[in-house]
Amino acid sequence: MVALLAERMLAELGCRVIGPAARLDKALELAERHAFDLAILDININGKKVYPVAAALAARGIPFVFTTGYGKARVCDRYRDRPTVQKPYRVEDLRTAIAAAYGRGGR
Amino acid sequence: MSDNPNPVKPTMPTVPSGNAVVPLDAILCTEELSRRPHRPPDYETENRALAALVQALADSPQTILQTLADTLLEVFKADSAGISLLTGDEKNFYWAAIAGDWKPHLGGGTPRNFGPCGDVLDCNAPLLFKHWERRYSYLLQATPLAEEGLLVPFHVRGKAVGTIWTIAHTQQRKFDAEDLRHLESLGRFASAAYQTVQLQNAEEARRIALDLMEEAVRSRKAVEELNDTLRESEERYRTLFELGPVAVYSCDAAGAILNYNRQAADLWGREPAAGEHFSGARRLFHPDGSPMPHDQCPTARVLNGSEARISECMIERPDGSRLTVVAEVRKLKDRRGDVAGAISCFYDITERKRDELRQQLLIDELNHRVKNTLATVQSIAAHTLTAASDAESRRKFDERLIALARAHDLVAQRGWEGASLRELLLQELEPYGAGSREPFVLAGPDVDLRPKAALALGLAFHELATNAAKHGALSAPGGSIRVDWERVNGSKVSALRLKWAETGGPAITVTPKKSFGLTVIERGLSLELDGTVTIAFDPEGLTGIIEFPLPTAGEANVC
Repeated sequence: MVALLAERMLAELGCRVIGPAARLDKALELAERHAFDLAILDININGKKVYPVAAALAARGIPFVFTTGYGKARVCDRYRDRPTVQKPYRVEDLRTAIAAAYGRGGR
Repeated sequence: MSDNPNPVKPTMPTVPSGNAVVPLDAILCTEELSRRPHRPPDYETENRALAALVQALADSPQTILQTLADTLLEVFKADSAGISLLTGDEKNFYWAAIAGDWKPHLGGGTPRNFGPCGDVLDCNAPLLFKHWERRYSYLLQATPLAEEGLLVPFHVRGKAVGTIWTIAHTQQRKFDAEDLRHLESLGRFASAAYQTVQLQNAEEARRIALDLMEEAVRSRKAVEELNDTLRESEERYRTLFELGPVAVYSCDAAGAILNYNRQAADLWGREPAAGEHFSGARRLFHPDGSPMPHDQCPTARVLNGSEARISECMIERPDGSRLTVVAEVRKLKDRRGDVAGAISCFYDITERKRDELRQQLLIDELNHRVKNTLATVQSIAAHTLTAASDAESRRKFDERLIALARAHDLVAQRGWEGASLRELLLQELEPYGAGSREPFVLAGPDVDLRPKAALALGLAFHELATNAAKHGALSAPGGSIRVDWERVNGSKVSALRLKWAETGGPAITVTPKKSFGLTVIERGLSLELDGTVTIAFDPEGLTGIIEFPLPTAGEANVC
């Protein structure tokens, strides 16, 4: 349900959505193989931490935004400076975070 | 016998050389004694004097020789009287006690081989001298000059050791046979007195020796007692050292481990070998898991001059297991204040850390789930209210949901134990400029809210701020909101009284209809908080007064 809401918000912002991926391996495959402009990563993806996906995206230079229910302090140190939105969020919050993700040297 | 204030002392003169010396016979007139008419013996006076002397000898042996001289002067009606003693080297006589005119010469004396005393000893008999300075010219200095001098030797165990004497400085007094008899009698007393004094000296020496010995024994005893005390103290500290539950070890200034207790070895999982430095642990790590070289461990840091402090580190034992310990290290200083070593106390907090971590994970998980549930509810709403006309409702719904999520965050940060009222206000009003811009004044003491109150108030502040932004103080430039709160201490419970007051918004001329949000606050919040909520429209703006009981100290923070 939560992913569906994100999908809906992204559509509202004029994005075309690939995915969503409900499992880490699926997400990794998308991150490594597919062409896209930006990723929204839930920190906890079906009980696993999403950081390997973040690493793959970072390696490809693809910007991303974290969403989390854990609180900002729980994002691991390496990605603490990445844009993060707290669940639940408004479409405006997502827009701001996406802009920030592009602003930090993405495309 | 040397405290003579008079410097005139014919002390230890040397024997003159040359042959122009008056012969001894020329100054002697001893045989005259028997020819002179003599007074009858006065045994009564003699006995009284002797009795007094014996008493004096018993009472004050140190001064008996002087007492004897004084007695001689008195009973002989002489001008001077005294006692001469042979010095230890037998080279001189010294005048040990003098009474009368010659008293100033006390401590003076004559050579053994050239003087009247020596003559008496040589003859081993009493002698009567007349103007001895004619032969012994050094006696010219012993003034007044002696007209006559009667000397009697006295002996100790057959050996002559001194003389007693009486002197007449004028011709008025002529000594006679009775004087000789009496002086000889007192000579025997002098011998006894001399021996007593010697004995007294010996006794004194013995007493001093005894005192010294006693002193030595006393100090040895004191040292032993001190050692005992030290041993006891040492024993006490050793017991303290060994008793659990704290691990303790000590090291010298260079960090070499000197001793450690059983608990320390247990935590290290090993016994450090002699000469190991800073810690007996095989390997050490910082709390974040990075390696900690031994020379950077808490003990090493303190020895290197860091302030003593409490720090956490991890010990890796030989079996590979790791323990988290809290260590407190203190410098030891020697008498001069230099660092002599350090003592480190540490104890195992692995269980506690594990519990804390577990609790933190549970709280995180709870938070994560609640937030995901809220996000799910949001998604359901978004997928339910799909009509274009629902857009405004959806927006309001999202914002209320997010306000609730924010309040939730705050409560979760403190492990579901509560939240600060000021932080809650800042967080909920932050989208409207609280903390960065003018419109808000927040004034009140630090108050901890129970989680339930924090969640309810979070929503209420959101509702009030939204209302202010739409209709009230925040809808016009220059408008402001003041939030004051205070504790009100009642007879049984304390309560919180909070006032939300808007000014500078559009003037209120007609009491407006309360919005749905405000109505919900008034009714819902009062129920949630078991308090009262009053919202009123004053001419200068909306005021809201919220009053509710605070948990008393010790009351469980029931959500």
